[in-house]
Amino acid sequence: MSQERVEPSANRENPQNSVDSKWYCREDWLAVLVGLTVLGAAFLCAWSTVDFADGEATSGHPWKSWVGKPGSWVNNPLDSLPWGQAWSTSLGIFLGPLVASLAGFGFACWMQGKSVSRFIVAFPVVFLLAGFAYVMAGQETVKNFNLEYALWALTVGLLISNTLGVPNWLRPAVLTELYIKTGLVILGAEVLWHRLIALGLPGIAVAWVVTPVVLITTYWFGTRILKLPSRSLAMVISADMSVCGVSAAIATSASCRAKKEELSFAIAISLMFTVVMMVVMPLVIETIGLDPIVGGAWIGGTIDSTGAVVAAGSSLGGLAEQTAATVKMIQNILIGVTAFGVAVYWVMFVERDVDSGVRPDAMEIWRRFPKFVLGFVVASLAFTQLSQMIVDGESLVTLTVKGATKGMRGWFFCMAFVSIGLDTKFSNLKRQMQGGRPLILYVCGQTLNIVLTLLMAYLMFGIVFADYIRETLAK
Amino acid sequence: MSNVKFHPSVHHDTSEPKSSVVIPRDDLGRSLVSRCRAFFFALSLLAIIWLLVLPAIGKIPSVDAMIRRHDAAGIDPSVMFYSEIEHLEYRDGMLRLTTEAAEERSQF
Repeated sequence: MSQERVEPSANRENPQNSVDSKWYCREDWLAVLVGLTVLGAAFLCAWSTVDFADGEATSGHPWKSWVGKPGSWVNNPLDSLPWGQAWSTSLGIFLGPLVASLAGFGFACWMQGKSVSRFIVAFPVVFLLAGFAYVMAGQETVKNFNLEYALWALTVGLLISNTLGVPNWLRPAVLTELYIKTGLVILGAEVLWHRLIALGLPGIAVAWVVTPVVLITTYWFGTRILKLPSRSLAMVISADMSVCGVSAAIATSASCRAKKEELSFAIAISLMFTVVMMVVMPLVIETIGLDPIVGGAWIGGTIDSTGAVVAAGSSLGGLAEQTAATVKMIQNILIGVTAFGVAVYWVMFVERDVDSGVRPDAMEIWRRFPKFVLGFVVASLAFTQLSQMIVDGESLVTLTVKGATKGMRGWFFCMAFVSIGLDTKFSNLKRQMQGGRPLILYVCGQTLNIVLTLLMAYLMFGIVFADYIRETLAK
Repeated sequence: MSNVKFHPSVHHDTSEPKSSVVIPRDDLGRSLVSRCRAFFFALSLLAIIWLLVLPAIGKIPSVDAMIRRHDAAGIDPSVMFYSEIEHLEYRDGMLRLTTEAAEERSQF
């Protein structure tokens, strides 16, 4: 196991430094508290107000008109805003995330002994920048090439920090870690464990077997063969490429306390390759005459981003689209296992005492463990149980997530990427290039992913379970 | 981390005569004017790309066809997580077309 020195990072919380503050005033626990409060309030609100008939909700989530983001546009960015409607459905959609963020993160600042008034002054600007990033991401061409808002939020932040500079009064709202961790706790509600067994054995084979093999092999290749100096960069690239793109990169980077520039760099590489793969893979599948269902499974297991998977799958037909989307969904769920596994591995093996090389005891592991991961797991288990145990649970959970929490989570991640941009200089990003080795790591890992997934998809979806899959799809 | 300093004591060119008006410089020694110029240049570049170049790319026949196909099928290729896919919902172990999406597709 690794005995390499772990590089110090600006955003790595040193547990030794935080022993003075009370446990409930630490950032991880505050992120858990804010995240679970949002989830609990959204669920209770839906449970107490929405009626169901034949398992279908008779109305939308009460928060739906208060939690939204700018829409898409072609030539005029103003088209992304819902003008000409009642104010509650136009500006109202930004009010929910703004008020909830001010309240939640303002409370976190207060608990940490920071100035709440300075946060309140600065926060609307960060929120506005995140809104601007959403507008950029809504441009029709950008959107259809899967260039997600994370990239544009980063661009907006970088533009300001590398030209005007970040004024000191804005700094109290540049809370990257808090936004990311809270967003991840909320994301936990979307990780429903029973969906891991969707599609049965063939789904397990493609998503459960190939994904961990590619993840571990790529990480090993990056650290041992390419000898990347930063283990966390190798891990973030490996998870981003093998699991599910941006969301996996965010979760893994928080679990292994990667540098902000490493997360930015991994996401930029991933989105760049996703655009190419989204266009090329369907063409390759059609050219070699691969069965659309096998092709769909191949696409679902290899293309990083969920949206790009659906788009590429749909160009091969409805069956391929469904297969691709379902395989990707299983990989999405794996984000929970990955985040937890990486956090445990990091505190046990990577961050152990460098000088003595001694494995830390249970108390030390607990002290170093990123606690927000527990909030993520608790949210995930709770919503899985709720969806399975209560009447109309599946619909209720879906309504809560689609109508309220995914919108909040999106804003939190968007503000996190704006904050990363505001905290990053181009020179820091350039330093991540390391002679092109991270790029080589991504290409090698993705090549392995493509080959292994094709073999497994062909074996499982084309030969062994071909009839079972066709029956399932025909239901 | 950006360390923009707005302290009056930061003077990089000592040959300049001292005046009561202090121009703030960042850690690279750039003046406010030079930083504003860089900002507006970058902003103009973004505006040109977003308002002219990207709409023009969207009109290329192959790209236009792709956009229309996604629109017709109700697909949002920019979603980050499966729970954001609006035209598909989880039922009996699969992500399946919602009733509305299936009806819309049957019209094409």
